[in-house]
Amino acid sequence: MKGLLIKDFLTIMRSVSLLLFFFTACIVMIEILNGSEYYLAIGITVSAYAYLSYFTMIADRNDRSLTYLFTLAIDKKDYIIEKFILSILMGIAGFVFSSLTYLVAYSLMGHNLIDIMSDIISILNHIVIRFAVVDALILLVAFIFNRRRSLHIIFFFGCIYLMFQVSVYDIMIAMDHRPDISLIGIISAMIVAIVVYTVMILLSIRLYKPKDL
Amino acid sequence: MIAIKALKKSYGDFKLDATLQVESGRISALIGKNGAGKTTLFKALLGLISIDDGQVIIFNKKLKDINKKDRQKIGVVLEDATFNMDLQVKDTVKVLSALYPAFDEAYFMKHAVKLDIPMDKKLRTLSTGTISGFKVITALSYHPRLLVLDEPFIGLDILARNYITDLLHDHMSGYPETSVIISSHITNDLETFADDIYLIDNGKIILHEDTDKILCDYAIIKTNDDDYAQIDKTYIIKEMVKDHIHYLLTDQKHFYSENYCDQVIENTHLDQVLSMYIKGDRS
Repeated sequence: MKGLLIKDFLTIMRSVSLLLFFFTACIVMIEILNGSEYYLAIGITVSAYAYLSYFTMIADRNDRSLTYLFTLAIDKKDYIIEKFILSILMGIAGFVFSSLTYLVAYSLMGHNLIDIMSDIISILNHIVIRFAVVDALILLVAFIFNRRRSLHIIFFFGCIYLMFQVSVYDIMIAMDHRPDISLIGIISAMIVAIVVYTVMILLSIRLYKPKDL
Repeated sequence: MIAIKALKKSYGDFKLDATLQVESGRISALIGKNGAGKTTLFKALLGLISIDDGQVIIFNKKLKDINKKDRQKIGVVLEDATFNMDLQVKDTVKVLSALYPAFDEAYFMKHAVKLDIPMDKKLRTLSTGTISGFKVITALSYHPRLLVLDEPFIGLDILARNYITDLLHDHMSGYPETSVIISSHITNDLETFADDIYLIDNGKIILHEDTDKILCDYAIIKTNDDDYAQIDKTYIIKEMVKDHIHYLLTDQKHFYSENYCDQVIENTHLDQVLSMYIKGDRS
């Protein structure tokens, strides 16, 4: 599995390269400087980075490299679990990157560092749950409908989702319920995420039948 | 050792029905025209496609019992597939090092240099021949005990092909229990190192013979209409007529050399045997 992770990290770097990171930084900065809520900027970045795992599934389909991959010392389970782990790792990277960007930007604007960090931690549980449910679901759907054309269609709708996603935080604001920093809330969110991810992985292992090899 | 027993796979009108065996320490070549079923057979052997019936045995285990440790002993070259082409050559070294404990980086680097494979270039930018060389040294770099090579010589010049052939020989010398199954349209090269030949046509194995026997005992007799009527056809396997010349394939060259010394009897090469078997009629 380590080999697959290395492959996918290098694929992302070679295929998408720093352009994606600068693009993401621009989106985050524009969102923040335009006065948009920070949670949206961070949420978009987390999902966009996690979505890169899905991008590597499309890349595997190119040049018949998926056929070659399954001749190596890996099995179906390795391939599936690695994609989910990659999505978590990339999501964490997105969260760290966008949070640091928000931290730096608002610090330069004169905001209090403690307040900024509180803002970030307050949305952590919402981001984790949304991330676990939606991003893991996209991977599950990708494994079920794993023909090349289906993957591109899912990728297209995924991009639409990223552009017009409604933050759970927005819904909660509309319901007049503001989240507070809550350790219990974060731990609960983590547990929910672990359960959801485990279910998605088990379903993917059961339902994934590599086609077009 | 690998054994394929009555393997059946259907794709529409095409039906693969093959039985073959490659013993340890042997190199078996699989030849046939385009679309004969070579790649389908390799994919079935590697578990890349499901089969309708039959059995595949690798390392004395059924295919479904092959685990990751076993896969670490299998080296594969596929005709039209390799790593993601956006990766650089040096990236694949990192991936292979992580996947294969036995990966020999020094071996890979040494032969990459000899084959002029640039480490800093994306696979997509390499020529067809360079990619072929890369695929072969990748497959050999973790010293496997089974090599499945589907068209490993595509795009290679004669020098590179000789180098790759020497690599295979060296590998067999260093690991004499290795089994190799190889397919190639460049049959001249196969004649120099394959121990036996399987000829496949329309999904069926139509010939299995030792290479030495084909090169020593097989012959093509060229004769005209008059002499054709006089020739004993007991040992004629296939025959073909072209421009009033009869071409007769036999596996008893010495019989015809002794009894029909006035006839034109030519030694055969694999490509001629392939051509006669596919285009010729049974005598």
